[in-house]
Amino acid sequence: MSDITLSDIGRLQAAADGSDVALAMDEDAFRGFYDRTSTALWGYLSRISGDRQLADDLLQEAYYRLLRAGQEFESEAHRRNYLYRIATNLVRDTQRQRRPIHDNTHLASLPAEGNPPGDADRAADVRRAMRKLKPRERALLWLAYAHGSSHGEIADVLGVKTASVKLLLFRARRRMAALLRGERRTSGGRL
Amino acid sequence: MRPTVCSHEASVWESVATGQWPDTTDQALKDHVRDCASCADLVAVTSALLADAACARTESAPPSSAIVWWRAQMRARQEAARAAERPLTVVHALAIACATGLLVGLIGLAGAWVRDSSAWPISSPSATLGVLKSTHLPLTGAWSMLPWIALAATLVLAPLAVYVIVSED
Repeated sequence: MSDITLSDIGRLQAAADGSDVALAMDEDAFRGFYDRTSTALWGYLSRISGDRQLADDLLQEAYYRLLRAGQEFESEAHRRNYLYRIATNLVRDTQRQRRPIHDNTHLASLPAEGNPPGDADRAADVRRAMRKLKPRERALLWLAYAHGSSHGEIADVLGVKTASVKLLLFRARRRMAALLRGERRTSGGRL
Repeated sequence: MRPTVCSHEASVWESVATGQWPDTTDQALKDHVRDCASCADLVAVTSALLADAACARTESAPPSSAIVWWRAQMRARQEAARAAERPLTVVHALAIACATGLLVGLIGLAGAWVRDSSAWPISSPSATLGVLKSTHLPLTGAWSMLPWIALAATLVLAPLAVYVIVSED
């Protein structure tokens, strides 16, 4: 992802003439916010899209759109939810425009047949199960259980009613649990 | 199907998320999870996703905040410049369309003049003068048509030119 060279940075610095264009945050505030949120956002993007390369691209796009959004935020949590909403919409739009993603990099980490199952095997099971879910189910589960977001925050990010989150989450969780049991049986059967 | 939400869900999730599950979790909660399908699913899904989230944290290598900030600055500046240029581009497009319309009108007029002149007999100056007199009326008609031809060409070309230029943005 960080394929920018020193000469690129130099060029960027040279091009920056000091007259900053209007963005929604000042540099210090942005850098602090980015440092606090980018790793988690990358995880969210890579898991709901199932594509690491896409997550790299969408991460920067999401922050750019946040900076260009002429919106006042009441708190850091509000800003973060808005960022996740942008990210969710970006993934949705991207997946509408292209064929379903088959993330071979994840499958490549599968242990060879006959090897004992370990953390890598379990992680591959989780990713395989996630890929069988709908994008909204992946987002719901990730926000609720990997991030610990409240139903209100999830509703805000996904653009659904707060009252609907409970039911949607229940169904997604049940489906994911069934898929995980299935994946584990399959993994166990290979041994 | 209506969700069978269990009142222990919050405690179960907290226990898994804080790493207490299963070793340091209260025995009563563990007994409950054994008997409650919803909480058992919750433990399975939360454990799996938290493990994957930890994996994602080690995999991620987001660019530095400084680079993202610079890129955002550059892009915002480019977009601002493009937005400022747009009205000027539209005016250029209209001017080009008008000029093209006039040129088309002139070419049409020249074509008519050449057609008419090719029919001139050149046997004698008096005959040529007679032809000139006879072609005076059609030429005058063609000249009077020029603004209309130019206007028609402009009306056709201007929207096309504006569309092409704006769509390039």
